[in-house]
Amino acid sequence: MTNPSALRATATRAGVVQGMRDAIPFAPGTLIFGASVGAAAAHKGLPALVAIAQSALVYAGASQMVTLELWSNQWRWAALAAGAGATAAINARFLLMSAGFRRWIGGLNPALVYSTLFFLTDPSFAVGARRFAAGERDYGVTLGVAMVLYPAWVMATAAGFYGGALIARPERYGLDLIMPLVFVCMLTSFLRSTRRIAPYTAATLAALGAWLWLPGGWYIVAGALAGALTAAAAP
Amino acid sequence: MTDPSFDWAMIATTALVTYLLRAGGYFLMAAVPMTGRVKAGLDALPASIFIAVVAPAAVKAGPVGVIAVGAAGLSMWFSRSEILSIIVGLCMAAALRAGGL
Repeated sequence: MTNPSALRATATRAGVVQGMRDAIPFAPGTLIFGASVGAAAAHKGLPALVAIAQSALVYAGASQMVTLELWSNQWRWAALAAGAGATAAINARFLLMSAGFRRWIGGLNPALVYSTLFFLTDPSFAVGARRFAAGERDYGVTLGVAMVLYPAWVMATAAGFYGGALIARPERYGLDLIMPLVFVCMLTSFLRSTRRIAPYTAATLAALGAWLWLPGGWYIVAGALAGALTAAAAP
Repeated sequence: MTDPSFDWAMIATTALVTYLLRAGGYFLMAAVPMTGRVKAGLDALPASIFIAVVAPAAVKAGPVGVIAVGAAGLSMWFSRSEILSIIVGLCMAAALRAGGL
């Protein structure tokens, strides 16, 4: 028997092909979410180039949606700070996922790893985690997922930007609710695997309280911290 | 109209924050051991974030928002299909509004 942790990490062409295949189930959700982000950016009045650049450079839909909510049509330091804070809170999960990669691919060329960690997403982590848990050590799989989903994400944003603006009175079709609807789907997936009452009650109360009494987007940070601290207090 | 300097500052800031998080865990993990409490807190973080986004947004949209988001959540719980559940939520909101709620 070989000890999986003793295997040397690699990044092969075969792994990339495998990863591209593993990414296919995630493509429909990526396309719809990307189009939603594009439509939301158009709704907010952003120029097309800015909307597409946001998807190409940030590549994290949930945080992009929230940042769009906080966007200002003039220079405001407070909006910039709220955007950075909300982005950090929403994308803090990447810190954990990225930490997980150290155990799996620690031996790889740092230039390759740090240049490609930009493409770390929930699907790429999910696919990678499954392969690595099975004892494989091929980082190419994670890269293959990004090769399918990154272009899909950017193109869907552009399509949603132009297509979404064609729809008059979006609230008539419930499209103003698309952000909370996408989020409640993500939330439900997480609740299936981690059913914890106290942290999530704390998060709900803190978020609603902060939303009522604090300005800007800080309610997201407040809810996130309340949930995490409650869980940390009683692990 | 938007302010181009603000637009690009916002994108640069959020892109940098996001990349630092994506690379940061890998970088720090070489040195920082994770205790049980840190792990428990980080495990609860994603769902807490989603709750913090969903709850105020649903309440803000009134009864239609709460019912549509609830319907999408229930659909997701039983079907595990994001696309179906988003469509369920959209149809629910459209139907309620067409009905005058």
